[in-house]
Amino acid sequence: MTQGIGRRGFPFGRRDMGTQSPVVVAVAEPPGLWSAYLVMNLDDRGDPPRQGVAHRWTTVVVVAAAAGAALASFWPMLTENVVIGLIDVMVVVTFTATGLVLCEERDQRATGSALVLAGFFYLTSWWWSWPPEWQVGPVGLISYVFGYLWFVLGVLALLRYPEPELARWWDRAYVALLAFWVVVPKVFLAFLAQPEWVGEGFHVDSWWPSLFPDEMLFDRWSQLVNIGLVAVAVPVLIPLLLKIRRSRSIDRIEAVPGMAAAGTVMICGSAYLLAKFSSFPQETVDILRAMIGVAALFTPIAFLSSALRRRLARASLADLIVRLVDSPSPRAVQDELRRSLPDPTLAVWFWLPERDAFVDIDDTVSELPPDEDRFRVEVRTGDGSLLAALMLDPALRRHANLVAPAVAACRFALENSRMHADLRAQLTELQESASRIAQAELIGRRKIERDLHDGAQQTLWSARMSLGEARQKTAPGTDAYKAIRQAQSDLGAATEELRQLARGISQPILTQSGLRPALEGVVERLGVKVTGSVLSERLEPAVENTAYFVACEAITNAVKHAGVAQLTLEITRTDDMVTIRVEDVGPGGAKATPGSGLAGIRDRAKTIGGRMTVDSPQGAGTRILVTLPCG
Amino acid sequence: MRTGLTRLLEGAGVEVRYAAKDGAELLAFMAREQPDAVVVDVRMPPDFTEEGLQVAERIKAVYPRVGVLVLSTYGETAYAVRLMSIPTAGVGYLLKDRVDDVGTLVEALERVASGKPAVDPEIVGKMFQKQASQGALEVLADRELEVLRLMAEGRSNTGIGRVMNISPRTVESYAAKVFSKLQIPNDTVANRRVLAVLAWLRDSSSAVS
Repeated sequence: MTQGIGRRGFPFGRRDMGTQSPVVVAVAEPPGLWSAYLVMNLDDRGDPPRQGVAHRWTTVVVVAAAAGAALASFWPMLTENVVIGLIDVMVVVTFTATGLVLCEERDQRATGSALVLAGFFYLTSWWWSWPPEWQVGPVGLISYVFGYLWFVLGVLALLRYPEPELARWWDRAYVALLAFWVVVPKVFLAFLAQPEWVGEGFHVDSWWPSLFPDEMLFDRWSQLVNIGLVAVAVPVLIPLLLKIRRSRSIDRIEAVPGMAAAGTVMICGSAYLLAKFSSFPQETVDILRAMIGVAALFTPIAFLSSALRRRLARASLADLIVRLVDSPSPRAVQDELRRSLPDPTLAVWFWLPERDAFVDIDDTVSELPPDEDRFRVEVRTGDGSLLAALMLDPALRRHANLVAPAVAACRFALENSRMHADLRAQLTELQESASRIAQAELIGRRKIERDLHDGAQQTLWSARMSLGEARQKTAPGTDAYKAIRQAQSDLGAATEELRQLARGISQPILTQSGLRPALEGVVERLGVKVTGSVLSERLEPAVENTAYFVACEAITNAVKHAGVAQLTLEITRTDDMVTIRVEDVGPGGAKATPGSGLAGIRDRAKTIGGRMTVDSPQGAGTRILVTLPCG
Repeated sequence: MRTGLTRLLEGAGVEVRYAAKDGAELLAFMAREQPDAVVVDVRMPPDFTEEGLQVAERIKAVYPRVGVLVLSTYGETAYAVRLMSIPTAGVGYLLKDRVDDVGTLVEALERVASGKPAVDPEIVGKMFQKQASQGALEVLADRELEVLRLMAEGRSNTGIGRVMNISPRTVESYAAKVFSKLQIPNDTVANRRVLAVLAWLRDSSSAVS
């Protein structure tokens, strides 16, 4: 067991510690952020280190390329407005980096691609800001037509993650509608326009398919399309909210930043469109652009927070081990797991090999844990035998990297608690068997006593009565009379011996009237002064008999060995405990040596699960306290 | 035992009207005919526990004039006190060992038949021994002790006088001294007096009560 903990107890200890500090740096300082994020995500996937390093380098190179492209692309803007320029560079870089990291996970490849494309189209949307000599060919047209596509792709990624595809038909329908509205009307509008009508940056000489140029028609339709765009974009919150509502556990917490990002982009975007077409001052338009960029940054942050969240959850799993050490009960283990994963519906089912069934913490036995649609994780012992099954929220299927350490952490606690349960069961069984034996012995003793009473003693009485009758008919003083007296005396001694014997085997008065009258007889026979009190109520036979034996033996001991003439006897009971206290002010120094009266008391008490404590310092009296469980 | 006792009592001149095998049979007989006294064993069928005590209480409740003598294998103080607590007099508690001496048996039977109490001398003796060992009886003179013992056995002043060869009046003065020295409430009603004496012998000795 000890060896097992050393070997397997901390399967994720050291490596985790090493990657935690970059996370902290990442939050504080943007340049370090992405490398830290990459390390974490690779670690999360649990890929072999060498492959992870290769991926990392590929990713770093691509991101560096994207950063270079963005810097170049936004160079004119950087020289003009540093803040907006920097924000835009960051948006492109973060989208690309996040997308690439997601691409490393097979299930997230589509979402990752969407994010990379979103980064690209974000870049595209600013091409109009290039100087005229850069705007070669259809650069301006592409920027115009696909300018808002990055928003659609971002929404697509948010709605899809972490599923490999859009789960609901209305999500698909909405994204399709949004994509349609963002691109198609602009293609038609492009036919009606000259480039310089579109916006201030669009160069008059750039390539443009002006089939039916009509400025008034273009302006009117542009307004209609933009109003429609706002109308189509505002409901983005509905599928996102629905997604949060149906997600559980970790997913729900993770979905919030993405939601905020989409919401903010949407609001700022609407305001931007309004400002742009209502000829607001350039500063206002610029501020709104900057705000869109900042809001867009939230999208990759949503994914980053998800990774951070996982990281934090795993860190809390490390604490889980520490806490589980102190919680041996199955219920405590289950509660800790529920809190750590987090999954309030988590259930632990122990495997009972001898019954070929599972049992939950409320002792409900089941052949197979119900709810087969749940995520079932088996916990196995070191030698591979089934220990328990955890039934988890299906949402946790995607977080196997969280579940695995939790299972490892709880394994020992579960093993421990099962051992506890087994031991307890064995102990209970042992005690029950001891108590059954005591009960059987009690019944046996009573039977012997009764047999003696009804058999041998009865015969002796009859003989004594016959002798009494004979004595009556014999003249006193004769030899026959003397012989009869002698026979009577011998028979009297025989009955007395038999009576003592029977009393030693079983006390009829105890059975009939209880502890108090029975002990009164004992005290009388010993001729000792006793103070204190004895309960008058009746107890369960085994308990009553043991209590009688204990009190009897303790008093007899005190009188015979300590030579005391006075002692205190208290027998009381609470709901579940009978307490016998015998105290004297004799010489003390009593010890429960094997074969002694005290050892006998201890053993008798133990047979029904009781305990004895003796306080008997030399020269300072003896205090014996015996507690017996009852009722 | 029943046949033996019947023969013993008949030999001593007691007319034995009926020998019942248990309490129910005895009570059924007594519904038809009430004898002067009945003898019951503490342990009787069906359970052999303390049916005799219950039967005694029942008989005294229904037929107060019939004397009841309870025979016991073990002399238990608790039983003696319980029997003396029956409000109607004429109850006795005797060890079975008295069958050796039919005279004692018959005397006790006659006493309960005439509405007087009777407690086995050995039981009283045991209680005395215990009190004596604790020095509770040192205040009494020898004659007073003897009077106390005979009172505990349920004897009247006249009875005590006869045993001690003194006049009932002298017995009464000894008894008064005993009561005042031991602070026992003086009661002239026979069964109440014996109960008071037994209770004193029992309680002052032991808190196991």
